[in-house]
Amino acid sequence: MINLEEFRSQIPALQQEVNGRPMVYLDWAATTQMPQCVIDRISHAMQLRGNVRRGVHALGHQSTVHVEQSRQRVAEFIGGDASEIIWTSGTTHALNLLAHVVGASLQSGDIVLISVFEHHSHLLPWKKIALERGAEVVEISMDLDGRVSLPEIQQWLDTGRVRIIGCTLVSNVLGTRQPIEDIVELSRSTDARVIVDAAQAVAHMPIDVVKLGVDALVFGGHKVYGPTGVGVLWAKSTWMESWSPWMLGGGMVSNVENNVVAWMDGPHRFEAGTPNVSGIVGLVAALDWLDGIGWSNIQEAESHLIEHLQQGFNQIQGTSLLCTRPDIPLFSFVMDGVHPHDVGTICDLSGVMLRTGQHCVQPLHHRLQLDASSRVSLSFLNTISECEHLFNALKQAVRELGVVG
Amino acid sequence: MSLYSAEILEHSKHPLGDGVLSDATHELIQHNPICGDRVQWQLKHESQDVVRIHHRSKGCALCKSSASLLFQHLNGSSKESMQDAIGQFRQDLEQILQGSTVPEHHVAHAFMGLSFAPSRQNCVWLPWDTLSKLLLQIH
Repeated sequence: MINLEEFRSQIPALQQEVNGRPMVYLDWAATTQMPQCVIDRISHAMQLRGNVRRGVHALGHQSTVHVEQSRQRVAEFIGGDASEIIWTSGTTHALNLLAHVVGASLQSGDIVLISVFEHHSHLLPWKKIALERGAEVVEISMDLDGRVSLPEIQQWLDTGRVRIIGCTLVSNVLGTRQPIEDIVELSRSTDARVIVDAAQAVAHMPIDVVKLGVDALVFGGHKVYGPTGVGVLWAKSTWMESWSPWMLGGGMVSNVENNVVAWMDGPHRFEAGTPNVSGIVGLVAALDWLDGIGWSNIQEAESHLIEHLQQGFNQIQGTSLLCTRPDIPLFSFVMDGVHPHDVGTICDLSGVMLRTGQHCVQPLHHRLQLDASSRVSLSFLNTISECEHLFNALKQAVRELGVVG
Repeated sequence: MSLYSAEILEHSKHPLGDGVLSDATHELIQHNPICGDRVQWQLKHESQDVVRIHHRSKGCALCKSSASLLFQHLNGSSKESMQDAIGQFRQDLEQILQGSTVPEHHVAHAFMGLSFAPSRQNCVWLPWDTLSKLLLQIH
Protein backbone atom coordinates (compact mmCIF):
# COMPACT_ATOMS: atom_id res chain seq x y z
CA MET A 1 0.00 0.00 0.00
CA ILE A 2 1.26 3.49 -0.82
CA ASN A 3 2.02 6.10 1.81
CA LEU A 4 -1.20 8.07 2.14
CA GLU A 5 0.41 10.48 4.59
CA GLU A 6 2.30 11.92 1.64
CA PHE A 7 -0.97 12.69 -0.20
CA ARG A 8 -2.53 14.05 2.97
CA SER A 9 0.37 16.47 3.37
CA GLN A 10 -0.44 17.84 -0.10
CA ILE A 11 -3.75 19.29 1.14
CA PRO A 12 -3.19 22.68 2.82
CA ALA A 13 -6.58 22.67 4.58
CA LEU A 14 -5.65 19.55 6.52
CA GLN A 15 -2.65 21.30 8.05
CA GLN A 16 -4.86 23.92 9.74
CA GLU A 17 -6.00 24.35 13.33
CA VAL A 18 -9.58 25.15 14.31
CA ASN A 19 -10.58 26.42 17.73
CA GLY A 20 -6.97 25.97 18.78
CA ARG A 21 -6.93 22.26 17.91
CA PRO A 22 -5.75 20.28 14.89
CA MET A 23 -8.60 20.22 12.42
CA VAL A 24 -10.38 16.89 12.06
CA TYR A 25 -12.39 17.32 8.89
CA LEU A 26 -15.20 14.79 8.59
CA ASP A 27 -17.51 16.62 6.19
CA TRP A 28 -16.10 15.54 2.83
CA ALA A 29 -19.56 14.72 1.50
CA ALA A 30 -20.47 18.39 1.80
CA THR A 31 -17.29 19.51 0.10
CA THR A 32 -13.85 18.02 -0.34
CA GLN A 33 -10.58 19.84 0.31
CA MET A 34 -8.24 20.57 -2.58
CA PRO A 35 -4.63 19.39 -2.91
CA GLN A 36 -2.00 22.03 -3.64
CA CYS A 37 -1.50 20.76 -7.20
CA VAL A 38 -5.15 21.56 -7.96
CA ILE A 39 -4.86 25.02 -6.41
CA ASP A 40 -1.69 25.62 -8.45
CA ARG A 41 -3.33 24.54 -11.71
CA ILE A 42 -6.29 26.86 -11.06
CA SER A 43 -3.96 29.69 -10.16
CA HIS A 44 -1.95 29.20 -13.33
CA ALA A 45 -5.10 29.17 -15.47
CA MET A 46 -6.21 32.43 -13.85
CA GLN A 47 -2.89 34.12 -14.56
CA LEU A 48 -3.12 33.65 -18.33
CA ARG A 49 -6.76 34.05 -19.21
CA GLY A 50 -8.47 34.13 -22.56
CA ASN A 51 -12.06 33.52 -23.56
CA VAL A 52 -12.91 30.27 -25.31
CA ARG A 53 -13.96 29.71 -28.93
CA ARG A 54 -14.20 33.45 -29.54
CA GLY A 55 -10.84 34.97 -30.44
CA VAL A 56 -7.92 34.16 -32.67
CA HIS A 57 -5.23 35.30 -30.28
CA ALA A 58 -2.92 32.97 -28.38
CA LEU A 59 -4.59 33.20 -24.98
CA GLY A 60 -8.04 32.55 -26.43
CA HIS A 61 -6.69 29.57 -28.29
CA GLN A 62 -4.98 28.26 -25.16
CA SER A 63 -8.17 28.47 -23.10
CA THR A 64 -10.13 26.71 -25.82
CA VAL A 65 -7.55 23.93 -25.90
CA HIS A 66 -7.67 23.63 -22.10
CA VAL A 67 -11.45 23.34 -22.05
CA GLU A 68 -11.65 20.84 -24.89
CA GLN A 69 -8.77 18.70 -23.63
CA SER A 70 -10.40 18.72 -20.22
CA ARG A 71 -13.64 17.53 -21.79
CA GLN A 72 -11.73 14.60 -23.25
CA ARG A 73 -10.06 13.90 -19.90
CA VAL A 74 -13.38 13.85 -18.01
CA ALA A 75 -14.83 11.56 -20.65
CA GLU A 76 -11.94 9.15 -20.09
CA PHE A 77 -12.51 9.34 -16.33
CA ILE A 78 -16.15 8.27 -16.54
CA GLY A 79 -15.99 6.12 -19.66
CA GLY A 80 -17.96 8.28 -22.08
CA ASP A 81 -17.19 10.34 -25.14
CA ALA A 82 -16.04 13.97 -25.07
CA SER A 83 -18.97 14.99 -27.27
CA GLU A 84 -21.27 13.85 -24.47
CA ILE A 85 -19.80 16.09 -21.75
CA ILE A 86 -21.55 19.38 -20.93
CA TRP A 87 -19.79 21.77 -18.56
CA THR A 88 -22.01 23.14 -15.82
CA SER A 89 -21.48 25.19 -12.67
CA GLY A 90 -22.04 22.12 -10.51
CA THR A 91 -24.34 19.19 -9.80
CA THR A 92 -27.34 21.40 -9.10
CA HIS A 93 -26.94 23.26 -12.38
CA ALA A 94 -26.59 19.96 -14.25
CA LEU A 95 -29.74 18.50 -12.71
CA ASN A 96 -31.74 21.66 -13.35
CA LEU A 97 -30.53 21.74 -16.93
CA LEU A 98 -31.61 18.14 -17.41
CA ALA A 99 -35.03 18.66 -15.88
CA HIS A 100 -35.58 21.69 -18.08
CA VAL A 101 -34.50 20.27 -21.43
CA VAL A 102 -36.00 16.83 -20.85
CA GLY A 103 -39.03 18.08 -18.95
CA ALA A 104 -40.12 20.12 -21.97
CA SER A 105 -41.32 16.90 -23.59
CA LEU A 106 -43.25 15.63 -20.59
CA GLN A 107 -46.97 15.32 -21.11
CA SER A 108 -49.99 15.10 -18.89
CA GLY A 109 -50.08 11.72 -17.19
CA ASP A 110 -46.36 11.04 -17.54
CA ILE A 111 -44.51 9.87 -14.44
CA VAL A 112 -41.09 10.82 -13.12
CA LEU A 113 -39.79 8.31 -10.58
CA ILE A 114 -37.48 9.85 -8.01
CA SER A 115 -35.84 7.82 -5.27
CA VAL A 116 -36.38 8.78 -1.64
CA PHE A 117 -32.61 9.35 -1.40
CA GLU A 118 -32.51 12.23 -3.83
CA HIS A 119 -30.95 15.51 -2.84
CA HIS A 120 -33.35 18.44 -3.15
CA SER A 121 -31.38 19.51 -6.23
CA HIS A 122 -32.62 16.40 -8.00
CA LEU A 123 -36.13 16.32 -6.57
CA LEU A 124 -37.23 19.96 -6.79
CA PRO A 125 -36.54 20.67 -10.49
CA TRP A 126 -38.66 17.66 -11.44
CA LYS A 127 -41.43 18.65 -9.04
CA LYS A 128 -41.60 22.10 -10.61
CA ILE A 129 -41.48 20.94 -14.22
CA ALA A 130 -43.96 18.12 -13.56
CA LEU A 131 -46.41 20.58 -12.05
CA GLU A 132 -46.10 22.82 -15.09
CA ARG A 133 -46.55 19.94 -17.56
CA GLY A 134 -49.33 18.07 -15.77
CA ALA A 135 -47.00 15.17 -15.09
CA GLU A 136 -46.48 13.42 -11.75
CA VAL A 137 -43.42 12.91 -9.57
CA VAL A 138 -43.54 9.64 -7.64
CA GLU A 139 -41.19 8.98 -4.75
CA ILE A 140 -39.71 5.48 -4.64
CA SER A 141 -39.12 4.10 -1.17
CA MET A 142 -36.25 1.97 0.07
CA ASP A 143 -35.70 -1.53 1.36
CA LEU A 144 -34.28 -2.46 4.76
CA ASP A 145 -30.70 -2.36 3.42
CA GLY A 146 -30.98 1.29 2.45
CA ARG A 147 -31.40 0.65 -1.25
CA VAL A 148 -34.10 1.83 -3.57
CA SER A 149 -37.04 -0.57 -3.92
CA LEU A 150 -36.76 -2.38 -7.25
CA PRO A 151 -40.20 -4.05 -7.01
CA GLU A 152 -41.74 -0.62 -6.57
CA ILE A 153 -39.94 0.67 -9.67
CA GLN A 154 -41.15 -2.35 -11.60
CA GLN A 155 -44.75 -1.70 -10.51
CA TRP A 156 -44.63 1.84 -11.82
CA LEU A 157 -42.86 0.82 -15.03
CA ASP A 158 -45.72 -1.61 -15.65
CA THR A 159 -48.08 1.36 -15.99
CA GLY A 160 -46.25 2.37 -19.17
CA ARG A 161 -46.29 6.00 -18.02
CA VAL A 162 -42.78 6.35 -16.59
CA ARG A 163 -40.54 8.67 -18.63
CA ILE A 164 -37.71 9.35 -16.19
CA ILE A 165 -36.10 7.44 -13.32
CA GLY A 166 -33.87 9.62 -11.15
CA CYS A 167 -31.59 7.96 -8.64
CA THR A 168 -28.42 8.80 -6.82
CA LEU A 169 -25.46 6.46 -7.23
CA VAL A 170 -24.58 6.77 -3.54
CA SER A 171 -26.92 8.19 -0.90
CA ASN A 172 -25.54 11.28 0.85
CA VAL A 173 -27.40 10.26 4.03
CA LEU A 174 -26.96 6.48 4.20
CA GLY A 175 -23.78 6.02 2.15
CA THR A 176 -25.31 3.09 0.29
CA ARG A 177 -24.57 2.47 -3.38
CA GLN A 178 -27.80 2.13 -5.28
CA PRO A 179 -28.47 -0.75 -7.70
CA ILE A 180 -28.31 1.41 -10.80
CA GLU A 181 -27.49 -1.51 -13.12
CA ASP A 182 -30.66 -3.30 -11.94
CA ILE A 183 -32.74 -0.17 -12.50
CA VAL A 184 -31.35 0.12 -16.03
CA GLU A 185 -32.19 -3.53 -16.63
CA LEU A 186 -35.78 -2.99 -15.46
CA SER A 187 -36.16 0.04 -17.70
CA ARG A 188 -34.70 -1.60 -20.79
CA SER A 189 -38.00 -2.65 -22.33
CA THR A 190 -39.61 0.74 -21.67
CA ASP A 191 -39.23 4.35 -22.80
CA ALA A 192 -37.95 5.42 -19.39
CA ARG A 193 -34.59 7.20 -19.19
CA VAL A 194 -32.30 6.72 -16.20
CA ILE A 195 -30.58 9.78 -14.71
CA VAL A 196 -27.92 9.31 -12.06
CA ASP A 197 -26.59 11.81 -9.53
CA ALA A 198 -23.01 10.68 -8.91
CA ALA A 199 -22.01 13.58 -6.64
CA GLN A 200 -21.40 11.33 -3.63
CA ALA A 201 -19.86 8.46 -5.58
CA VAL A 202 -17.29 10.21 -7.73
CA ALA A 203 -14.63 10.56 -5.01
CA HIS A 204 -14.99 7.00 -3.77
CA MET A 205 -15.34 4.60 -6.69
CA PRO A 206 -14.59 4.32 -10.39
CA ILE A 207 -17.50 5.26 -12.62
CA ASP A 208 -18.12 3.86 -16.07
CA VAL A 209 -21.24 5.28 -17.69
CA VAL A 210 -21.18 2.63 -20.41
CA LYS A 211 -21.08 -0.25 -17.94
CA LEU A 212 -23.76 1.39 -15.83
CA GLY A 213 -25.91 1.71 -18.93
CA VAL A 214 -27.52 4.95 -17.77
CA ASP A 215 -28.75 7.78 -19.99
CA ALA A 216 -27.26 10.69 -18.04
CA LEU A 217 -24.95 11.17 -15.09
CA VAL A 218 -23.87 14.30 -13.21
CA PHE A 219 -21.36 15.38 -10.60
CA GLY A 220 -19.70 18.54 -9.29
CA GLY A 221 -16.03 19.41 -9.07
CA HIS A 222 -15.91 20.22 -5.38
CA LYS A 223 -17.12 16.72 -4.48
CA VAL A 224 -14.01 15.19 -6.02
CA TYR A 225 -11.12 17.28 -4.62
CA GLY A 226 -11.68 19.95 -7.26
CA PRO A 227 -12.99 23.51 -7.10
CA THR A 228 -16.52 24.80 -6.59
CA GLY A 229 -18.34 26.37 -9.53
CA VAL A 230 -17.74 23.60 -12.02
CA GLY A 231 -19.64 20.43 -12.78
CA VAL A 232 -20.28 17.80 -15.40
CA LEU A 233 -23.38 16.60 -17.17
CA TRP A 234 -22.76 13.51 -19.23
CA ALA A 235 -25.58 12.29 -21.46
CA LYS A 236 -25.86 9.81 -24.31
CA SER A 237 -25.28 11.77 -27.50
CA THR A 238 -28.35 10.26 -29.16
CA TRP A 239 -30.48 11.61 -26.34
CA MET A 240 -28.69 14.95 -26.11
CA GLU A 241 -29.32 15.58 -29.83
CA SER A 242 -33.05 15.68 -29.16
CA TRP A 243 -32.84 18.50 -26.60
CA SER A 244 -33.41 22.16 -27.29
CA PRO A 245 -31.04 24.63 -25.65
CA TRP A 246 -31.94 26.04 -22.25
CA MET A 247 -29.72 29.05 -21.59
CA LEU A 248 -29.04 31.17 -24.63
CA GLY A 249 -26.12 33.45 -25.40
CA GLY A 250 -22.62 33.55 -26.76
CA GLY A 251 -20.74 30.41 -27.66
CA MET A 252 -23.78 28.21 -28.33
CA VAL A 253 -24.90 29.43 -31.76
CA SER A 254 -23.34 28.88 -35.18
CA ASN A 255 -25.44 31.41 -37.10
CA VAL A 256 -27.69 34.31 -36.13
CA GLU A 257 -29.55 36.19 -38.87
CA ASN A 258 -32.86 38.03 -39.05
CA ASN A 259 -35.08 34.99 -38.96
CA VAL A 260 -32.54 32.25 -38.63
CA VAL A 261 -30.77 30.93 -35.59
CA ALA A 262 -28.66 27.82 -35.81
CA TRP A 263 -27.45 26.21 -32.60
CA MET A 264 -24.03 24.68 -32.22
CA ASP A 265 -23.83 20.92 -32.33
CA GLY A 266 -23.12 18.70 -29.35
CA PRO A 267 -22.49 19.92 -25.82
CA HIS A 268 -21.61 23.50 -26.83
CA ARG A 269 -25.30 24.09 -27.50
CA PHE A 270 -25.85 23.94 -23.74
CA GLU A 271 -22.90 26.08 -22.70
CA ALA A 272 -24.04 29.64 -23.25
CA GLY A 273 -21.68 32.26 -21.85
CA THR A 274 -18.06 32.09 -20.82
CA PRO A 275 -17.29 28.83 -19.05
CA ASN A 276 -15.41 28.54 -15.77
CA VAL A 277 -12.08 27.82 -17.47
CA SER A 278 -9.95 27.79 -14.33
CA GLY A 279 -12.53 25.60 -12.59
CA ILE A 280 -12.56 23.14 -15.47
CA VAL A 281 -8.77 22.98 -15.45
CA GLY A 282 -8.83 22.51 -11.66
CA LEU A 283 -11.36 19.70 -11.90
CA VAL A 284 -9.14 17.83 -14.32
CA ALA A 285 -6.13 18.40 -12.06
CA ALA A 286 -8.10 16.75 -9.26
CA LEU A 287 -8.97 13.76 -11.46
CA ASP A 288 -5.30 13.42 -12.41
CA TRP A 289 -4.35 13.55 -8.73
CA LEU A 290 -6.85 10.80 -7.90
CA ASP A 291 -5.61 8.66 -10.76
CA GLY A 292 -2.10 9.00 -9.39
CA ILE A 293 -3.25 7.49 -6.11
CA GLY A 294 -5.32 4.72 -7.65
CA TRP A 295 -8.78 3.41 -6.80
CA SER A 296 -7.49 0.23 -5.18
CA ASN A 297 -5.45 2.27 -2.68
CA ILE A 298 -8.34 4.64 -2.04
CA GLN A 299 -10.87 1.87 -1.52
CA GLU A 300 -8.57 -0.18 0.68
CA ALA A 301 -8.02 2.80 2.97
CA GLU A 302 -11.73 3.61 3.04
CA SER A 303 -12.65 0.00 3.88
CA HIS A 304 -10.44 0.22 6.97
CA LEU A 305 -12.11 3.46 7.99
CA ILE A 306 -15.60 2.00 7.51
CA GLU A 307 -14.72 -0.98 9.68
CA HIS A 308 -13.21 1.19 12.40
CA LEU A 309 -16.19 3.53 12.45
CA GLN A 310 -18.64 0.63 12.63
CA GLN A 311 -16.85 -0.70 15.71
CA GLY A 312 -16.40 2.71 17.28
CA PHE A 313 -20.01 3.80 16.98
CA ASN A 314 -21.01 0.62 18.82
CA GLN A 315 -19.16 1.96 21.85
CA ILE A 316 -21.01 5.28 22.00
CA GLN A 317 -23.88 5.12 24.44
CA GLY A 318 -27.33 5.85 23.03
CA THR A 319 -26.19 6.23 19.42
CA SER A 320 -28.12 4.77 16.50
CA LEU A 321 -26.74 4.59 12.98
CA LEU A 322 -29.18 5.26 10.14
CA CYS A 323 -27.30 2.64 8.15
CA THR A 324 -24.80 0.20 9.64
CA ARG A 325 -23.29 -1.01 6.35
CA PRO A 326 -22.54 1.88 4.03
CA ASP A 327 -20.48 1.45 0.86
CA ILE A 328 -18.44 4.61 1.45
CA PRO A 329 -17.07 5.93 4.77
CA LEU A 330 -20.21 7.91 5.56
CA PHE A 331 -22.33 7.38 8.65
CA SER A 332 -25.41 9.32 9.67
CA PHE A 333 -26.55 8.90 13.24
CA VAL A 334 -28.78 10.15 16.02
CA MET A 335 -28.02 10.25 19.74
CA ASP A 336 -30.68 9.71 22.40
CA GLY A 337 -31.79 13.05 23.76
CA VAL A 338 -29.01 15.07 22.11
CA HIS A 339 -30.06 17.20 19.16
CA PRO A 340 -27.78 16.89 16.09
CA HIS A 341 -26.99 20.62 16.19
CA ASP A 342 -25.71 20.27 19.75
CA VAL A 343 -23.66 17.25 18.68
CA GLY A 344 -22.22 19.32 15.85
CA THR A 345 -21.31 22.23 18.09
CA ILE A 346 -19.66 20.11 20.78
CA CYS A 347 -17.66 18.32 18.09
CA ASP A 348 -16.73 21.64 16.45
CA LEU A 349 -15.46 23.03 19.74
CA SER A 350 -13.23 19.93 19.87
CA GLY A 351 -11.94 20.61 16.36
CA VAL A 352 -14.06 17.88 14.77
CA MET A 353 -16.15 19.04 11.82
CA LEU A 354 -19.22 17.07 10.86
CA ARG A 355 -22.55 17.81 9.23
CA THR A 356 -25.84 18.19 11.06
CA GLY A 357 -29.37 18.76 9.83
CA GLN A 358 -31.31 17.12 7.03
CA HIS A 359 -28.48 17.15 4.47
CA CYS A 360 -30.87 18.58 1.84
CA VAL A 361 -32.87 15.33 1.87
CA GLN A 362 -36.02 16.07 3.84
CA PRO A 363 -38.16 13.28 2.32
CA LEU A 364 -35.77 10.60 3.58
CA HIS A 365 -35.72 12.11 7.06
CA HIS A 366 -39.52 12.19 7.05
CA ARG A 367 -39.53 8.57 5.94
CA LEU A 368 -37.22 7.71 8.85
CA GLN A 369 -39.37 9.87 11.17
CA LEU A 370 -36.43 12.09 12.05
CA ASP A 371 -36.25 15.87 12.29
CA ALA A 372 -32.52 15.83 11.66
CA SER A 373 -29.39 13.70 11.96
CA SER A 374 -25.64 14.07 12.34
CA ARG A 375 -23.34 12.82 9.61
CA VAL A 376 -19.66 12.04 9.38
CA SER A 377 -18.24 11.56 5.90
CA LEU A 378 -14.61 10.65 5.49
CA SER A 379 -11.98 10.68 2.80
CA PHE A 380 -9.34 7.98 2.33
CA LEU A 381 -7.02 10.64 3.77
CA ASN A 382 -8.61 10.55 7.21
CA THR A 383 -6.87 8.53 9.88
CA ILE A 384 -7.82 6.10 12.62
CA SER A 385 -6.55 8.68 15.10
CA GLU A 386 -9.06 11.18 13.72
CA CYS A 387 -11.86 8.64 14.21
CA GLU A 388 -10.79 8.42 17.85
CA HIS A 389 -11.02 12.22 18.13
CA LEU A 390 -14.56 11.93 16.83
CA PHE A 391 -15.53 9.27 19.34
CA ASN A 392 -14.03 11.26 22.21
CA ALA A 393 -16.06 14.29 21.13
CA LEU A 394 -19.24 12.22 20.91
CA LYS A 395 -18.63 10.78 24.36
CA GLN A 396 -18.23 14.34 25.59
CA ALA A 397 -21.58 15.23 24.01
CA VAL A 398 -23.21 12.39 25.92
CA ARG A 399 -21.51 13.49 29.15
CA GLU A 400 -22.42 17.17 28.74
CA LEU A 401 -25.94 16.89 27.43
CA GLY A 402 -26.95 13.43 28.54
CA VAL A 403 -30.46 12.22 27.91
CA VAL A 404 -32.90 15.08 27.76
CA GLY A 405 -36.24 14.09 29.22
CA MET B 1 -17.78 30.57 29.25
CA SER B 2 -19.33 27.24 28.30
CA LEU B 3 -22.07 27.33 25.71
CA TYR B 4 -23.85 24.55 27.53
CA SER B 5 -23.93 26.03 31.02
CA ALA B 6 -25.86 24.40 33.84
CA GLU B 7 -28.55 27.06 33.41
CA ILE B 8 -28.96 26.34 29.69
CA LEU B 9 -29.07 22.60 30.25
CA GLU B 10 -31.64 22.90 33.04
CA HIS B 11 -33.91 25.04 30.86
CA SER B 12 -33.52 22.69 27.88
CA LYS B 13 -34.32 19.62 29.93
CA HIS B 14 -37.22 21.21 31.79
CA PRO B 15 -38.44 24.11 29.66
CA LEU B 16 -40.74 26.61 31.35
CA GLY B 17 -43.94 27.60 29.60
CA ASP B 18 -43.96 24.50 27.44
CA GLY B 19 -47.50 23.50 26.61
CA VAL B 20 -50.75 24.46 25.00
CA LEU B 21 -52.63 27.63 25.89
CA SER B 22 -56.22 26.42 25.65
CA ASP B 23 -57.73 29.91 25.38
CA ALA B 24 -55.10 31.34 23.02
CA THR B 25 -56.21 34.17 20.74
CA HIS B 26 -53.16 34.14 18.46
CA GLU B 27 -50.52 31.64 17.45
CA LEU B 28 -47.54 31.34 15.13
CA ILE B 29 -45.18 28.51 14.16
CA GLN B 30 -41.72 29.02 12.67
CA HIS B 31 -39.12 26.51 11.52
CA ASN B 32 -35.39 26.59 11.11
CA PRO B 33 -35.07 25.01 7.65
CA ILE B 34 -31.47 23.98 8.25
CA CYS B 35 -32.08 21.67 11.19
CA GLY B 36 -35.83 21.19 11.40
CA ASP B 37 -36.23 23.05 14.70
CA ARG B 38 -39.79 24.17 15.27
CA VAL B 39 -41.14 26.80 17.64
CA GLN B 40 -44.81 27.50 18.24
CA TRP B 41 -45.92 30.43 20.37
CA GLN B 42 -49.49 30.94 21.50
CA LEU B 43 -50.69 34.03 23.28
CA LYS B 44 -53.78 35.42 24.96
CA HIS B 45 -54.09 39.17 24.96
CA GLU B 46 -55.88 39.71 28.27
CA SER B 47 -55.52 43.47 28.69
CA GLN B 48 -53.28 46.37 27.68
CA ASP B 49 -50.79 45.29 30.30
CA VAL B 50 -51.01 41.53 30.22
CA VAL B 51 -50.17 39.11 27.47
CA ARG B 52 -49.98 35.47 28.49
CA ILE B 53 -47.81 33.22 26.36
CA HIS B 54 -46.98 29.52 25.95
CA HIS B 55 -44.73 27.67 23.56
CA ARG B 56 -44.11 24.25 22.09
CA SER B 57 -40.49 24.01 21.10
CA LYS B 58 -38.95 21.08 19.31
CA GLY B 59 -35.27 21.35 18.65
CA CYS B 60 -31.80 21.66 20.07
CA ALA B 61 -30.82 22.54 23.63
CA LEU B 62 -30.14 26.16 22.70
CA CYS B 63 -33.50 26.67 21.01
CA LYS B 64 -35.48 25.07 23.83
CA SER B 65 -33.61 26.87 26.60
CA SER B 66 -33.99 30.16 24.77
CA ALA B 67 -37.78 29.70 24.58
CA SER B 68 -37.86 28.73 28.25
CA LEU B 69 -35.86 31.80 29.33
CA LEU B 70 -38.04 34.04 27.20
CA PHE B 71 -41.15 32.66 28.90
CA GLN B 72 -39.61 33.05 32.33
CA HIS B 73 -38.83 36.71 31.78
CA LEU B 74 -41.70 37.90 29.62
CA ASN B 75 -44.86 35.92 30.36
CA GLY B 76 -47.54 38.27 31.67
CA SER B 77 -45.82 41.43 30.41
CA SER B 78 -47.42 43.97 28.12
CA LYS B 79 -46.98 43.83 24.36
CA GLU B 80 -44.74 46.91 24.45
CA SER B 81 -42.55 45.48 27.21
CA MET B 82 -42.16 42.26 25.26
CA GLN B 83 -41.19 44.14 22.11
CA ASP B 84 -38.64 46.22 24.02
CA ALA B 85 -37.17 43.09 25.60
CA ILE B 86 -36.95 41.31 22.26
CA GLY B 87 -35.15 44.34 20.79
CA GLN B 88 -32.74 44.37 23.71
CA PHE B 89 -32.12 40.64 23.34
CA ARG B 90 -31.26 41.08 19.65
CA GLN B 91 -28.86 43.90 20.49
CA ASP B 92 -27.24 41.79 23.19
CA LEU B 93 -26.82 38.86 20.79
CA GLU B 94 -25.00 41.16 18.36
CA GLN B 95 -22.71 42.27 21.19
CA ILE B 96 -21.96 38.68 22.14
CA LEU B 97 -21.24 37.72 18.54
CA GLN B 98 -18.79 40.61 18.31
CA GLY B 99 -16.98 39.28 21.36
CA SER B 100 -18.29 41.84 23.84
CA THR B 101 -19.89 41.10 27.16
CA VAL B 102 -23.45 41.94 28.19
CA PRO B 103 -24.71 42.78 31.71
CA GLU B 104 -25.26 39.74 33.89
CA HIS B 105 -28.90 40.64 34.56
CA HIS B 106 -29.77 40.57 30.83
CA VAL B 107 -31.42 37.38 29.58
CA ALA B 108 -28.88 37.09 26.77
CA HIS B 109 -26.08 36.73 29.30
CA ALA B 110 -26.96 33.03 29.48
CA PHE B 111 -25.78 32.74 25.87
CA MET B 112 -22.38 34.38 26.24
CA GLY B 113 -20.89 31.10 24.97
CA LEU B 114 -22.32 31.87 21.52
CA SER B 115 -19.17 33.83 20.80
CA PHE B 116 -17.49 30.42 20.36
CA ALA B 117 -20.26 29.08 18.12
CA PRO B 118 -21.67 31.99 16.10
CA SER B 119 -23.32 29.62 13.62
CA ARG B 120 -25.80 28.73 16.38
CA GLN B 121 -27.26 32.21 16.74
CA ASN B 122 -30.34 31.23 14.72
CA CYS B 123 -31.13 28.46 17.21
CA VAL B 124 -31.18 30.98 20.06
CA TRP B 125 -32.97 33.67 18.09
CA LEU B 126 -35.79 31.53 16.62
CA PRO B 127 -38.11 31.68 19.71
CA TRP B 128 -37.62 35.45 20.05
CA ASP B 129 -38.12 36.09 16.36
CA THR B 130 -41.27 33.98 16.35
CA LEU B 131 -42.79 35.82 19.30
CA SER B 132 -41.80 39.15 17.78
CA LYS B 133 -43.76 38.33 14.63
CA LEU B 134 -46.70 36.98 16.61
CA LEU B 135 -46.97 40.21 18.61
CA LEU B 136 -47.46 42.10 15.35
CA GLN B 137 -50.80 40.30 15.04
CA ILE B 138 -52.12 42.11 18.13
CA HIS B 139 -53.79 45.39 17.29
